Amino acid sequence: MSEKLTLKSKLLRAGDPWSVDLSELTPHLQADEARYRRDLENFLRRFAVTEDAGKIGAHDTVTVTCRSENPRFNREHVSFRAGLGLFSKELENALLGWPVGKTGEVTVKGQSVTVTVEAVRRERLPEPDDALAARCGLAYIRTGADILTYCRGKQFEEELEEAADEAYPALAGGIINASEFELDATEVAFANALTQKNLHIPEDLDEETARAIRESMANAGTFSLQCALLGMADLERCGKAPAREDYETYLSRFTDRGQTPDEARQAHPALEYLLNEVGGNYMDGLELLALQRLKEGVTL
Amino acid sequence: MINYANYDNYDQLYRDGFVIVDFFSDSCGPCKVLARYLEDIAAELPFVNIVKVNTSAYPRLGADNHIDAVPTVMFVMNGELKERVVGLLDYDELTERIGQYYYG
Repeated sequence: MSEKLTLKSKLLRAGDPWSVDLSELTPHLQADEARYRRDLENFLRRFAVTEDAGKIGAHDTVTVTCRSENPRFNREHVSFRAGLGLFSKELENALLGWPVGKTGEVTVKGQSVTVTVEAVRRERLPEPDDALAARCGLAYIRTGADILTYCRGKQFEEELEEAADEAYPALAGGIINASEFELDATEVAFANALTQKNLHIPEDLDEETARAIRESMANAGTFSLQCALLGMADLERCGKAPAREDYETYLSRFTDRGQTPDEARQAHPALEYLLNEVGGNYMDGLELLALQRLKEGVTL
Repeated sequence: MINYANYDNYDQLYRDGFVIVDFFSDSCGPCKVLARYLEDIAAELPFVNIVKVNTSAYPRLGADNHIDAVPTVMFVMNGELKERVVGLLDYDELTERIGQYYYG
């Protein structure tokens, strides 16, 4: 069994991310219904089941062999979606209702074409329900209603991503305020020092402003530590608790850059890995959650 | 299917069946409109391979393909370039070309 990485600090109770109030940051957008229907259909199509059908219906995938003096219609085993008009709108429409196995004549642009229907496959779209939500594998899509919310917001991705830039730090703050922690003083000091070390203050900034930035960021390490604890809890829930091998893989990136393994270990203790990687990935996940939450402001 | 090209995979993606290559950049408004049409096509027509090339992230791919403006769309069948269009194509214009080049 792989060795789990742990912190001395503890998460005693995690706040509920769905209870954080984002109403003031949620834009109110009116979706175009036709676009919404299309986005929903595209989403459901990823999980569609394709079955044999007895006769050709609109949008079925049809395979035919056709014979004609026109070389475009003299070919075997050609497949197309009936009614879209990519192969021939006239021919496709003429074949609607034909059963599998039928051979018959149609007229296309005044020319006779002999067509044999070889196969008809029909897509069956699933219902956007809780069962689909469970199997779709998308972060934060838990119910059928979440699927509809996700699709309703798809046409506003750019606007919502801008709003999410503000919303996800607010979401993180809301979760942390609703959580309970027991923080170890040495880990807090390490996290704060790391934040200070990683601050990139432009060289041309005046000393007073630079000092103000450093002071305001002095306790940001505590936030990072709390995100790491929440991130570890999330990973443990999914059965993927950060392990020693993950840390060793992280270190190998530095040895690839010319550091010896011992140098990398001295420069990057496991605590830094947990803060940067686990905490960082948790914040990335919150961005997706914020996006999904903001889509609740999109109406039809 | 939609694939995102990089320096390592572009050559392989370009040659795989019927391909629409979409050269775009992050700041291009019409590129975003085109992206929605291509998403619809990818969902409805699984035999169409869509290869998206971000010329901001991979400028050498833009330069190697002589891309002067975005969006630029190339229609490719089994590695053979059929048509190259500079500017936005709407859904009907895209599907018309799919029909023309895929079915001959």
